[in-house]
Amino acid sequence: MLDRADVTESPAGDATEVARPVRFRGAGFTPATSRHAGWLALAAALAVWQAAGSLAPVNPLFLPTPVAIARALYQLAISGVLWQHVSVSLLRISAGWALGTASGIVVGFAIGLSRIARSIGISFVSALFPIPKIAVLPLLILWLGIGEAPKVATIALGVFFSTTISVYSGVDAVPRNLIRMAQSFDVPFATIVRRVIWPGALPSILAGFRITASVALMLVVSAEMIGAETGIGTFVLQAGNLMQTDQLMAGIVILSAFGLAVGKLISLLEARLLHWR
Amino acid sequence: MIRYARLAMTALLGLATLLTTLGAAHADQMEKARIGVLRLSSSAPVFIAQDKGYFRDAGLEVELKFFDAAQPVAVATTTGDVDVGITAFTAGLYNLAGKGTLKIIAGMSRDRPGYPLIGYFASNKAYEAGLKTPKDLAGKRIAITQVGSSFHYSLGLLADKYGFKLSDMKLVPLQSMSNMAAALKGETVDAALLPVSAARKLMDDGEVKHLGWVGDETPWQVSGVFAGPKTLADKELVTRLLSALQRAEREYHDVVLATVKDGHAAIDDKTKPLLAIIGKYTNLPVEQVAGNCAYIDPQGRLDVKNVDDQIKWLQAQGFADKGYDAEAIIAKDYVKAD
Amino acid sequence: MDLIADHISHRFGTLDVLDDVSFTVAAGEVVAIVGPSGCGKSTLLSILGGLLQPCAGQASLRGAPPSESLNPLTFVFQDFALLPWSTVAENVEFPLLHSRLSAQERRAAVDDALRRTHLSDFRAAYPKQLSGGMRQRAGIARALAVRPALLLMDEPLSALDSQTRELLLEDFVRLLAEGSMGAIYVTHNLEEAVRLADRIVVLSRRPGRVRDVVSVPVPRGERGALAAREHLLPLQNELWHLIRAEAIDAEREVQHA
Repeated sequence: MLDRADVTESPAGDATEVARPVRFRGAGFTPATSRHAGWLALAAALAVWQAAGSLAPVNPLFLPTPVAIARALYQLAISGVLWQHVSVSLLRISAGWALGTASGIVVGFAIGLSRIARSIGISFVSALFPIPKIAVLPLLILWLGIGEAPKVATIALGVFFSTTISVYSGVDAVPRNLIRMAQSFDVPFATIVRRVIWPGALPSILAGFRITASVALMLVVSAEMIGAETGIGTFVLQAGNLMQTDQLMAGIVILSAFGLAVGKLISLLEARLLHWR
Repeated sequence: MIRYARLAMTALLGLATLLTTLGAAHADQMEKARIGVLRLSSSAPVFIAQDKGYFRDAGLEVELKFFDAAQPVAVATTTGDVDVGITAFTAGLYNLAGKGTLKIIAGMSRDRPGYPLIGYFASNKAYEAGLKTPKDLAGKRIAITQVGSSFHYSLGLLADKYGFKLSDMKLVPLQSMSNMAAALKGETVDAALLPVSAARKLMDDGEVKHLGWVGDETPWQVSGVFAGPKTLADKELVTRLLSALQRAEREYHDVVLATVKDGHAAIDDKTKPLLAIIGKYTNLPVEQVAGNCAYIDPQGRLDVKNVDDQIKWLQAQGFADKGYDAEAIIAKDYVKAD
Repeated sequence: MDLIADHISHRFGTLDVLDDVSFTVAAGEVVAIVGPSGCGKSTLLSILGGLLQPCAGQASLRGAPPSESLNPLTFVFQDFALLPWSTVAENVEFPLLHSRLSAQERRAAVDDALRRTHLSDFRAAYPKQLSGGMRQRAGIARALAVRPALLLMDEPLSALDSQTRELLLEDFVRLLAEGSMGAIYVTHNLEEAVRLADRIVVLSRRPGRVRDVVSVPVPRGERGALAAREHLLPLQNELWHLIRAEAIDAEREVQHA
């Protein structure tokens, strides 16, 4: 018979060897986001920035203070120029983005679904994607003139390649077993594309939207290099040329705000369309 | 044997160094200076002074820093990345100066009759339709680099000269020479202002028509020499640098500019060495350098009145900040006015 | 409607997978296909169901399927193959969308299939909200909705834990007893084969050949009883005996590959 410990005895009560708790080792690697901390950090950064500008002898030319930027924005807003710039640019961005996205989706699906389109398409996309759009501006001007067409085309081009890549990788990522399942029920090709491949590729396509929306915002500056009189890109370019750094920063703030808004919009879209994930 | 030869070489080199040092003995010590400049013939005296050792003679060890646009030169001067900048006057430069981060210390190139630098060019279609002279530019679509640029100002001067309004022209900012050339070739603009270096090939290929030169129509002070506060305080440095530059300017003026006829400098035994130096720094063959000679005042003078006009014009257009004039941004200790 | 495997051979690249496999599944019959891992059981099922073109031989049908059948040969997949963005009801309705049924008839078919698989309360759930067993029930409901003549079941229980497996196995027995529907049931689990099948096709290791075809003596409806189970145990052992040596060889081969 084995001796058994008295069950009423506290296990830590053994005097000869003091029991110690097992050290917790599982901390970290689970970052949780706190909404307030983010805003607080932003506010603190702005405060330090403002203090650096107004207390220390930092030349406002090098780093305009947040207040100066806010003032520049305010003046733009009340003069009505801001809305002119914003609306013109938004029109170009949305037209270019829509055009690039629509054609990118078509080509991306073709590459994802057809052997011929795939063998031709992938090499074309790989060859043309890395060309900096600014480098082809003279060509775009030759082909399309200096009206709205080349501006929209600049944005559309940048968006197109990104979209194509995210769409065909999305199509590639649709589980083959779902397609086989649909085939086993004699579901017609068009229905498979619409009800299996499209929703299956949607997460990747939406992730692509996130990137292409930023690309479109970045390219509006390049696009408005082509003889634009208004637009947020023109405004930024002009402020840079004229060394009006507070205006320049104001323009950048507007572009950032666009970026944030678009990011939010896409998050909403994702929450709506991808709730099944 | 070889060892002796080496020894002899070393001795010779040492002697040469000693002699050079003695040659510069009137300067107390070699001072270092960095000059920000573009590879354009409008900065010819800088290249001559550097190549022929005039800076060295003045006790300066100059390092040239090359930029590819005017704006970065002004910014680099402001931030102290270069001690002295030499480039065209732009709204951006004036705005930097207006905030007290740099001052003009001398003049450099000018647009002046007989010295082709910047031209008005028409597309073939617009030319056929009657755009034959600079005066006809009223009511046309004209490509420029940027708003507030020297091209913009030139067109403002042209409008004043022929009594029409700047707003009568539709100006199309295209940011780069290649964009402007493409727009002109593609006939989506009626005209463009282009430097002769960029336009020559288009002209020779018959793709654009030449209407005239800015220098012939509206002479003005195009570029200058400027420095940040730290350099300005070093009187010794600035004086030496300007004297070396003026030595080169005088030589350039008397040797090269004196031979300019129909927009071309002569290529002879006297001019060729200087043209070769300019060609070396601007990466152009001598023949092209000779056809692209910027006028530079032999004494490095600055057309202060014109600079003031420029500032007033830019301020009126809203491209320059209000609240300063030429007085405020010129280092009076150094500048020689016209 | 009979399904005939007619001298089917298949290879993937240089790898021979199936070698001259022939057998017939009569209308309403339940046939299990067993064999060691990698013997080409699933490949054979894909060929029989028309999802894969064999290198030689063919799968053919004899006789007309029942007129009410919308999809005579219907798969039940090992990984369920449910559309993750569709609810259970939508998944069941998916193969009916392009059929000749009216919306009302479709709804009735979906309701019936969900009721038979005990999923009526989960019609609005998404696949990720369901347990593995429930997901496979949805997969079965989808198959039932098209009123198949022959179910092609590809290891339908192997992704599930043993308790769920037992529960679903009972459901299969019940569903297969309900109508005139036949089934080909691919499995590596001999107990499942012996519980469900009228006949068992034993495949050799790769390249799969028909090693033996065994009839299960007790009628399907009577196998629930304890006595019957005991009666069938020797058959299960016999089958294991047939496969064991091959399974060992097959496993070594897989490790080498």
